[in-house]
Amino acid sequence: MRSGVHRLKWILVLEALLAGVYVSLTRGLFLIFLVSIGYAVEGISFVVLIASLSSLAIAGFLYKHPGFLTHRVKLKLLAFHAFERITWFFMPLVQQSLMISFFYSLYMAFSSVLGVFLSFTIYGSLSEKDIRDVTAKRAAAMGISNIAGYALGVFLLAFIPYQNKFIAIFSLGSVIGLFSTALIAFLDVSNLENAKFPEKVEQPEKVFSTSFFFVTLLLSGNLFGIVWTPYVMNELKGTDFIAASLSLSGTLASIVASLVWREKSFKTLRIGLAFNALGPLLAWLVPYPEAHIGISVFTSFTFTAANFMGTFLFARYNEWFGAVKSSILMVIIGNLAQLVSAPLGLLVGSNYTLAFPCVFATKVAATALAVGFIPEVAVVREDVARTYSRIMYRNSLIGYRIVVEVSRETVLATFRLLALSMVLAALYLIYRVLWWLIS
Amino acid sequence: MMDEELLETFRKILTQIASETVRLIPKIFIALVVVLLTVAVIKILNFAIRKIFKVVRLDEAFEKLSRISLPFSLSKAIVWIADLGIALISFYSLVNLFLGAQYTHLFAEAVYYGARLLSIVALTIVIFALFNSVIEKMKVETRLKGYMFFILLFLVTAMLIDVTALSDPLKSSLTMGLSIGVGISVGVFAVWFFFHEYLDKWLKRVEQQKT
Repeated sequence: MRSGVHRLKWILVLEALLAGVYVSLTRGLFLIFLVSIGYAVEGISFVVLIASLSSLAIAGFLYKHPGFLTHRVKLKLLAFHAFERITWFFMPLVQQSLMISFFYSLYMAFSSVLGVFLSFTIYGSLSEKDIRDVTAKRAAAMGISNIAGYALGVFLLAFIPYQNKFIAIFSLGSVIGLFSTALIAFLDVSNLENAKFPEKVEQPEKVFSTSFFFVTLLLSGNLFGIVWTPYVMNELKGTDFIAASLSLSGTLASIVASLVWREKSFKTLRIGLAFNALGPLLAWLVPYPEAHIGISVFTSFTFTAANFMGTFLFARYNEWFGAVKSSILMVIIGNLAQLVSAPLGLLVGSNYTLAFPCVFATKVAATALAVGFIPEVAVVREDVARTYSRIMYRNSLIGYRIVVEVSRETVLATFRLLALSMVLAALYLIYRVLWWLIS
Repeated sequence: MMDEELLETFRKILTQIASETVRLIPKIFIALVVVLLTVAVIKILNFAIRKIFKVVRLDEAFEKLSRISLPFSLSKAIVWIADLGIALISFYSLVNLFLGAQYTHLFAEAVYYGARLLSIVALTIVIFALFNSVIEKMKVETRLKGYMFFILLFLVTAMLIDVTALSDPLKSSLTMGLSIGVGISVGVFAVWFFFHEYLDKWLKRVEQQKT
């Protein structure tokens, strides 16, 4: 039994190692590909927005119909793993916005389902301790292979002739990705077949608080990523080297951080989360571009702790929330954060005096949510945090119901007015014809 | 000799009838198609409009928004108006087909006249609906209700005079008379409405002085 778990963990880590290179060579260079074929910010946002919406819809569908995940698990896992990678063979062959949006949406949809299946495999097969271990090792492995992948990507971009550049790079990425698919074939996921999922959630307020915290945290991370690099380059006049170093140092720090934070308690991870909120303030106030490399190390290191907090909390809720719903909810949270951050990023744009305080406020909100409303992490007594959490959940539920009711009424009223307009238009048409005939 | 002439006349009449019938057959056929099409369009339109109104719930929404209850169903009235429009188009086609362009002018005049009549009916309905709603809201006493009804009847009569076949001078003198009557009536009412307390006191004083 133990050797089976050991084998599963190693396969998952190796898969992440290969997937890191694949992701760097495909999704990592996708923005450059879009820019190279003449896309502006609006076009890129459109493509990303459509793709995020489609993957969110897919994840929402899976949450409503979780039975899809628990039958023929291995076949579906393999199929979606392979499909996701195969999509990249087609991506460089199209140039039109609609086709690119279609293929990228397809990729995101496959990616969402695959993310759910991989989380389901991890959450459904391992104990909380093993989940912590494998999550940390996968993050570290992905970080290492990301660096290698980006180095390979830069090399290929520099040396392959222009017209075949992206066909070659994306195809190479897909092939490497398909090797990781081959690894997945060795996974034994028979225990997940017909896995049970609770019809009713025992403590919905806990899931709600954690999800709310996680969305806020990921949103702040995404927003920070959108504004930081342009700020260093445009405002502080940092060189390209510094901009590239920001990403590299961040990835290196996250590799080390994954191994450092994996065994730590929630109370310790809380410290990382609190320190992470300082990141945007430091980035905004420190005027020396070189110092931002250090800030990047600091924020990546602390962000890994905050991120692990959310992931590990779901690992703990696994027992009563079920692996199926945990996995789907985590993918929904990721997609939602991406969906909200894209338009927000566009909105704040290059107004850095607004952007950095916004990111700081979001990070502080995430910290406040964690330390006030999540019993496992709270600085207040557990029962007090549970009460706060319940109050927030109930209020949000009431608010949600009101919003749904009002939206429903508005949509119905619009539809009714539209229908009435159609009838009146038909009447006008009839009498216009009659008028035209008799006059 | 006489028999032959009679036969010849009959033959001519029959030939004429036959030739007219033969000439009419394509027109009859086209008219049938027009009628069938009209029926089909009316059926489809009614079905579609009724389905739409089932969703829209027009009567309910109208009553809720305006707080006026109409004596008829608004959605049925719209269906009826649509049907009437289709029927008129169809009828115009038939008139044009059988009677020719000179009769379409008559048809147009009939439609104008019908439209005037309908507008009077619609206006009367609207006025009475408003009247009802005002009475319900203001809780008017019976005498005042009677007075308002009386004025409304005068107004409707004036509108009806406009569409009658009376001569223009008679129409104008009747309308003038009605207008003067309505004006005086409203004036007297206004005097009573604003000064009735004063008038009551004055009358009482006059009676007391007499006695």
